[in-house]
Amino acid sequence: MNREIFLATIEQRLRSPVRLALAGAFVLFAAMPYVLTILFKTAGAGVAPAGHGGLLGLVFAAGVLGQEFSSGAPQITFTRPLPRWAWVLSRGAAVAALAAVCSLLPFGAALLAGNAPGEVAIAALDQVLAAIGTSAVLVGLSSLVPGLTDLAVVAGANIALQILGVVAQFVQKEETRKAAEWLKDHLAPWFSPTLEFTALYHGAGFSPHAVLVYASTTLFWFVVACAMVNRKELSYATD
Amino acid sequence: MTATGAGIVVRNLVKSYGGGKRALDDVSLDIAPGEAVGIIGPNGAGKTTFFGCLLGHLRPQSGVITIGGRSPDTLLTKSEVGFLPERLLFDRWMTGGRFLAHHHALAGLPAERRRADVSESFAKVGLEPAAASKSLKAYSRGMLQRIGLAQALLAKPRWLFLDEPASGVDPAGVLLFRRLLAEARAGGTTIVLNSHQLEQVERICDRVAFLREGRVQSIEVLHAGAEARRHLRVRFAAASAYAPAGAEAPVLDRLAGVAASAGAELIHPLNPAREAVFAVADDAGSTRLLAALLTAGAPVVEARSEEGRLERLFLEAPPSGGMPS
Repeated sequence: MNREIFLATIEQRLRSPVRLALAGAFVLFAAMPYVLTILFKTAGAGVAPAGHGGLLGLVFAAGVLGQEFSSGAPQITFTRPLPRWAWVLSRGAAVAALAAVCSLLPFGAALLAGNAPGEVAIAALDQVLAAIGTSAVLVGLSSLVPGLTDLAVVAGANIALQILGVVAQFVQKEETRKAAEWLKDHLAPWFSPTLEFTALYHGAGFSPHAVLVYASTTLFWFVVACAMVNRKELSYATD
Repeated sequence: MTATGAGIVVRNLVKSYGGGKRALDDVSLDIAPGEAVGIIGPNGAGKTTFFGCLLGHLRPQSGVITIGGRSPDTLLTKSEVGFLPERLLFDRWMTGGRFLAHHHALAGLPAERRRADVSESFAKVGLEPAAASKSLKAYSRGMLQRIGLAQALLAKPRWLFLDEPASGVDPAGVLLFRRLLAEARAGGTTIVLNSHQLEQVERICDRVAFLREGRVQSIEVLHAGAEARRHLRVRFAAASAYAPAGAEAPVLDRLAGVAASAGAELIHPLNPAREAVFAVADDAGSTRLLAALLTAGAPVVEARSEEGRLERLFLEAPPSGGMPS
């Protein structure tokens, strides 16, 4: 990890008006039920289901490596005494941290709205893990494709998984339905790794398998990114 | 020149891109510590690929590169390297000051010296202090080139790689760059310079490697001392008692005679701009020739040494096949 790269990446992300606008919109949308509860002094309906952690991961991590390579900036950075893996991990950690911190913001409003701290903390943990997991996916994909193509790949994969879900629901043939379900269940964690602690909190039981899948998927994408960047040749202008 | 293990040693370097065509084909070159070497050649000769390999950005198929006895990839080597790329692809979201501070930190230089070093770097490359708070997006090409050189020199590198350093820089900037590179050399920095500006190469470098179609075609020693034979271009007043208009032939005979008496040779007679070119043995020969011309009453207005060896190299080389670079 390199502190300078970590801080510079956070600064870079926060200087992007598009990313800031999108992040603000997602945070505001997630905080809206609590804000309305506070404003109109109505009785709280508990912690609302949220999905903003993953979206914030997409917003801050999209193009985290690919855009850099497309811009050519690493040409100078890589002449500095900095291992490439440290560059990858520092950039990845920066976007994951940014997404995680932003995903916590709506839960401040949830607490102010009078929700039980334990329930809020568990819901917040869910979103933080989703933010980190999605950031890891983007870091990995971003090392494989240029610019913001990683975002398109994630979007495409999620659309394909939704289609698989629909197929699994409506198809008549049992084998096809099972195959679609199997594919969806096994592919989804690769593109949207998350842990449902809320379900655990409500007594659904602890699943070591789910923890293992989340941890290994997140680690996998970081390893992919380090390996790809380490062997990457930097393109040059023609002379 | 023989390089020691402490210099830059390149042995039998081969680098191919997709399709198998060799961008670098068995390139070997030794650069001694403290030496300045120019890499020149036509477009597509492999110069930039060569730079990419030297910096560890590209991986050759075969061959060996050592910089100070170590691989270009090691962190120790990188801590001693400065690089100015041809395409100034910096982090454009940064201000100039943030950019230099960023590279100061990445170079591992002490944080307590950061502010002072950055300010000093701005002054050194002739950038106004106000440029430090200006976004790099708003920098002109010349300003980017200056801040690029500032980041390359920031850590006082032992090995300095410059790819077209004076491109887009005004004449004052060119002179400043030359002075900064001379200072770096005086401090023991080894310079590898890739440039199409042959005059710059001639003024800065000790030797030049001429690359063509991925091979080192020749290595020229540029500053072989004052002994090298050179050409002196002398311009005379438009019309005078010595060289009246319309009386070219007798004047030429007279000039040739004066040149011969000074141990020089008239090789190009007067052109329409009333310039003649003489071949002289060395610097002392130039002085003798000018003294002889002035003594003979020749209305000398201007005299300048014609370097031009690199231009001749280019002109003598057959056209390139245009390989990927």
